[in-house]
Amino acid sequence: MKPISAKDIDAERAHISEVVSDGVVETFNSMFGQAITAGDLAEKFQSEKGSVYSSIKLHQANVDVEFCFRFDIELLLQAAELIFTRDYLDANPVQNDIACEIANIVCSKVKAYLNEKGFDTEMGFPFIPPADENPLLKNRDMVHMHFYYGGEQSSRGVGVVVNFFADDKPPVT
Amino acid sequence: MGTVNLPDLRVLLVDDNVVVRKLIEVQLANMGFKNIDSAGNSNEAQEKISATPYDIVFLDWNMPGKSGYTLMQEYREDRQYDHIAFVMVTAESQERYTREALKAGATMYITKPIAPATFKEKIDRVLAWLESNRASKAGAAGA
Repeated sequence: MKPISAKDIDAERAHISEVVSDGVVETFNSMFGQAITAGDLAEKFQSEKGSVYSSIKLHQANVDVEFCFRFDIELLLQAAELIFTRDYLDANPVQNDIACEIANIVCSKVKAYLNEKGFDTEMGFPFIPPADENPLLKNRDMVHMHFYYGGEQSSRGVGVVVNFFADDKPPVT
Repeated sequence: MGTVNLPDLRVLLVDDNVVVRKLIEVQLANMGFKNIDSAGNSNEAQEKISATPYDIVFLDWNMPGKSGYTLMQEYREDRQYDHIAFVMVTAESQERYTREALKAGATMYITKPIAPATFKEKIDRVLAWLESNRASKAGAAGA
């Protein structure tokens, strides 16, 4: 297996974006019963009813690749209502669990893609970043992907935004 | 299925994510399963498996603490539990993980995202395994 660097991730970003995009659409459609469309209307970034963020990292030796997801809370609630009763959801908000699971599934697909390219990476557990930290706004954005829900007219605005970036960490001496 | 009656089968779902547990539970219930328990980690799963003779155990490969893969390996080393069908559920889609899981004793390997049609097809194969396993045990006991 080859060592990976932030430059390698940069060189692969178009393909990784494709893997992420397909993964988000497939996961929402097949597992959570929500029709999602990939798009690029970045100006609709703002969510009206609040957002849920999740993150997950791939790493190998001195490189971390971090994936950040932002979900409209309304989209996650729609997905949750297909699985849980209203009473259960009132007592047990599960939107963070859905956000983490989607991050987990999508990142696994990227891990498999990188493995095919000869890069072996380890995947961490998905996590919810601290409330005061918006991981999408870190000043290192390489790629922003936007997904819409609510039918072909995309009238519901941005349902999911994904960003990823790689960092070369200084080697431990 | 001759010796396998879905409402009688005891199922344990082990995953740290409540949404995944519920998704699988709903799909199993739609198929006719009635006895479905769940555990949020390997320790809880071990307690439940000690107390209840489950027929099928779904295990998330990657969980904080002891992984589902490690837990399955431990049970597969103990013949007391060889009646259990272990179903590994994971987002790891690489073929090598499937091979590794099956080699370590998994009865089935289900990749997330879980699509209902694929899920049912795989559970039918698990039921066939249970049937075959019971038949061979009955044959061995009668020999």
